[in-house]
Amino acid sequence: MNEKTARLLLGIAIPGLLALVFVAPFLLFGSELADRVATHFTASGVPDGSMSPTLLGVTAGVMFLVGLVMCSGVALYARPVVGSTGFGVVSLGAFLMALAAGIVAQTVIAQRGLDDWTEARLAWLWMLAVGAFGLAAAALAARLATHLPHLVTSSGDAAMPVMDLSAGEHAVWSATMRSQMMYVLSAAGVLVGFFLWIASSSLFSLGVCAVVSLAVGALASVQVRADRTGLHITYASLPWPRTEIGVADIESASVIDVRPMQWGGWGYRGSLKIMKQAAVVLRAGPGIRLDLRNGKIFVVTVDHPENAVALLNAEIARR
Amino acid sequence: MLLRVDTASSQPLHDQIAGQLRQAIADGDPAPCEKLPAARDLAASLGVNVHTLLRAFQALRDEGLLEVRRGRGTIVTGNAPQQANVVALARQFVEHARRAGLADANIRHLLEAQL
Repeated sequence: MNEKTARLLLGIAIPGLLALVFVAPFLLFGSELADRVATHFTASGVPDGSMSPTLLGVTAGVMFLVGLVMCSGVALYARPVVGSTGFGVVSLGAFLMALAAGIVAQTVIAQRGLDDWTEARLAWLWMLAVGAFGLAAAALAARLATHLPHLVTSSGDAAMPVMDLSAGEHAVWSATMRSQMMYVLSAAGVLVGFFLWIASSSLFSLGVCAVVSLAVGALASVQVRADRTGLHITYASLPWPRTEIGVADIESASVIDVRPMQWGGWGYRGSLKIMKQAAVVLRAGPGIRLDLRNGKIFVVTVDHPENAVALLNAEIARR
Repeated sequence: MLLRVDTASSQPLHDQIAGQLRQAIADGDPAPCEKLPAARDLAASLGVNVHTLLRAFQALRDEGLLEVRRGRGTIVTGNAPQQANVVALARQFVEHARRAGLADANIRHLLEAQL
């Protein structure tokens, strides 16, 4: 697929299809809706909030427009896309559009023919389907965004030192990185969860906040190891998940200056499978950049990456 | 932290590892209280037997530079950089004393006299 097709699909075709999903249920079944539709539900699926169908359309429409600006704006006007930020904006835009369209479609179809909004019941399966629809749209958008030109695709004049290793010599380089900001975010997430639990007795909110906080906390500390077999990353000293990139898969290693916003923020950004580039970003500053033999790029921020890069290049040279 | 071992060297592998790790700790990389990679991972990376690596860890533990916690891994002690410098000075002192022809008993006596 060429760049023009990708831009047209992302900027026009996908938003157009999602707009159809958004509008069609209103056109087909709008007349069968009650004066108000249920929009908020308790954990047991009983409605506890409502709004007029028009207000639902306007609210979801604003969400859709925000997504449209993000997705189409980058796809049609950005030349070139900046690193993972481009992927992030495009996929988040597609996610918002799909979510808005899915919520409207699900609400209209499920509540048509009801006399009163209190008769509505939340179908969890449908909600999961709407969530999956949003994620699928985001993944598709990210995949298409790989065909757009990127600023962070060439190692350019990056430093590529090579370590002098004799035939019988082996070396290992290891470093531990911690992100104070991610620890703070993780703690803040737990506090927000407790606040929501106390304010609304919502165990669901507490659970979601706890899971997100744990995920952020786990990524706040990474151990990076480079050796004759490749690059290994473990998170929060846990045996799983871990990232392993073999020497056989690496074309070259170089030192890179990482700007978190170029990669879409902090944490594990991007995806080697979907976006063809991924980065473990814990702070701004130097990092290791691996250009893989299949054209993909992997980056991890570490202090003093020169030795790791030199070691990996030496192992690449003698593989 | 960068560790290198040379299988062609006459110096035992555990001595090579202990020496480089000692110097790395004195330089503050790994930092105090930092957890080292698992012994089996480091051993595999260096292509040495895990017992060779554990022998190096044991030497540094005896010097107060590492704390080996069963099931929790190996951690650099809180005052390891300062301790590593003292250990390096002590090793130099013993080396000089032996080169000067002093017996080990005399070296101990000398040290005790200074305390």
